Amino acid sequence: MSLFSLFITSFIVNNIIFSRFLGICPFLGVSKKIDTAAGMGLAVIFVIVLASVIAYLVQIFILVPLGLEYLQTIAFILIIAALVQFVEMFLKKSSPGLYKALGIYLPLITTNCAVLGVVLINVQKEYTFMESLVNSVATPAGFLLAIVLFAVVREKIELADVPESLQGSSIALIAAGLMSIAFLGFSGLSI
Amino acid sequence: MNKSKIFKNGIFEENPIFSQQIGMCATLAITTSLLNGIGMGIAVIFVLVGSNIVISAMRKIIPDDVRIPIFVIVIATFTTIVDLLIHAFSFPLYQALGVFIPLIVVNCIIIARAEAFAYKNGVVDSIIDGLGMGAGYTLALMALSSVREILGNGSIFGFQILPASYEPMMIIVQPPGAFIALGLLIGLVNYMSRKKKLKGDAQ
Amino acid sequence: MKNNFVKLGGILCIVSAIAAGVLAFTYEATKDRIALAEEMASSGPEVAQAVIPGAASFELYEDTALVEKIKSENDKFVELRICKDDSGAELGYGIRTLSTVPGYGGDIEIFLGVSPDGKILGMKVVANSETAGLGSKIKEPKFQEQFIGKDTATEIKVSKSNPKDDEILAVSGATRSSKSITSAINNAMIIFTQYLKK
Repeated sequence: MSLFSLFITSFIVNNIIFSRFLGICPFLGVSKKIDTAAGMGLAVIFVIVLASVIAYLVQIFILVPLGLEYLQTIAFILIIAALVQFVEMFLKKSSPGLYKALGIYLPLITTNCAVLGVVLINVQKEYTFMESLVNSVATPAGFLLAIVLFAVVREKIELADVPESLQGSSIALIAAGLMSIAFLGFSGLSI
Repeated sequence: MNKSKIFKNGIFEENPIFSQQIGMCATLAITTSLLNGIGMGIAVIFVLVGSNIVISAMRKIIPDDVRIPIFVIVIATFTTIVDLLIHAFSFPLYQALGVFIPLIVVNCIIIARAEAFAYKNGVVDSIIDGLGMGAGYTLALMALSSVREILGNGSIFGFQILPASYEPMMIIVQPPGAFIALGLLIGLVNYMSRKKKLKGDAQ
Repeated sequence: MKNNFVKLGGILCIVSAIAAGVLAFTYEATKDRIALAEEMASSGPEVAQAVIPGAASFELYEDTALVEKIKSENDKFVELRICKDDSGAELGYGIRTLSTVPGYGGDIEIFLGVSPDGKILGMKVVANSETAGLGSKIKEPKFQEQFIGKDTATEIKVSKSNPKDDEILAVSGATRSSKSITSAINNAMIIFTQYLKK
């Protein structure tokens, strides 16, 4: 698959939220306002790109040569946890506004299935370095797209008259389902 | 807190999926068949109970500052163990659950219970909390996967139960169906618990 | 402060070391079973029966020179096996190949059973990452039996309705998966026609 085709596939055809179900917790949790959603999306892109580069190097130079592939889960999650820690410290100093806005959700990027998910998928599909890089940019870009679109929809839902039992996550999930149907239309796309 | 209350808490009041809405990724992805739902549920119970035991047993010696990385290491270890066990003993389940087995390590339920309960309570209580939360999670998975398997495939546990003339509802085993089915299920649970509360208030 | 740092770092290292030790032990204890499970799934008796019904043996093809030649010329080819029945008579070939057109979740890997005179006898999907409950329906007999009996000389195409003789009906809603597995089958048939047909 050409790199461009890989980009489009990871970005919208196999969209990480609407097709692969990775990153649902922050997707539901941070999508109430458009600007926090955008901030979260950008932070996730940053973490995923860095994490996959480091994880790729660890896989190629440490895990495989020593036959330690079974330590993948533990190694990758520690890399991610350390990375998020650094991002937190960096943001605290350089952009306190964004740091405050993201609040608890910043450390929660560690438990964002999307991050570990992308790293594991790169390894499982045995992508080359360039392919991993493209996948690591396109996939969270898809996350950003999904979460911002969803925030737009949710802000509108706030103003609508929703039956009491369906309020909150219930109607949010149903709305996400309808958006997922729209994204399903991309599945025939082959470039 | 008495033991049965801890257990029931995980199933009803603080059900991971229906009340807390955590651990959603796997829930939506693998609930296409009841067998997958139960398989994942058992795997999560194993990791949850295991890490609760270790963290609770070590809670006096884990320093507060590094507790999160230590939780992560413990949970990742149990996740890898369950991954190897499923790979070795149930290969079809391993193929069905795929990348979501290692993703158990980032299942918010487990780290949330470690932080909120196991770190602060005794080993026996932590085991029961783990079992309760795990059971609550598994029941939610079973509910969702039964609905999706019956409507989407006309079968349960792989056995055809609806007549062959039933045209399966394709969409429900695809991603949109997962979102909508779960949304409606949560709505239903909300409705039932509101009704119960109203009845309770009236008495 | 610095002393505390060292102490915390030390505790982390000890915990990591214990974790690594536990995992190494579990790995050693399970790796043989895992290898066996992987092998059964890709070339065990169950696979043999699905690929060529009645197969009593499923050995690798003896002519390694030919196998190497196929490997160098066809990059999707994986493995070649020969099926014999109880009496030792050749029943046909098991050709293992990847798809040339990727499915929803990447390449699909199949074993195709071909009789010596070029008819499809059976098949088994060895690896796939298609959508559970949808694309995974390519593994079902209902879909696969469309291929049985087809001649390896003619390329098989995928149709969404009313398939003609050289076409098969796609799984409803999973055209991509259907096309992918068909491409794998076509590749296996090409391998047979080019290298094995007598």
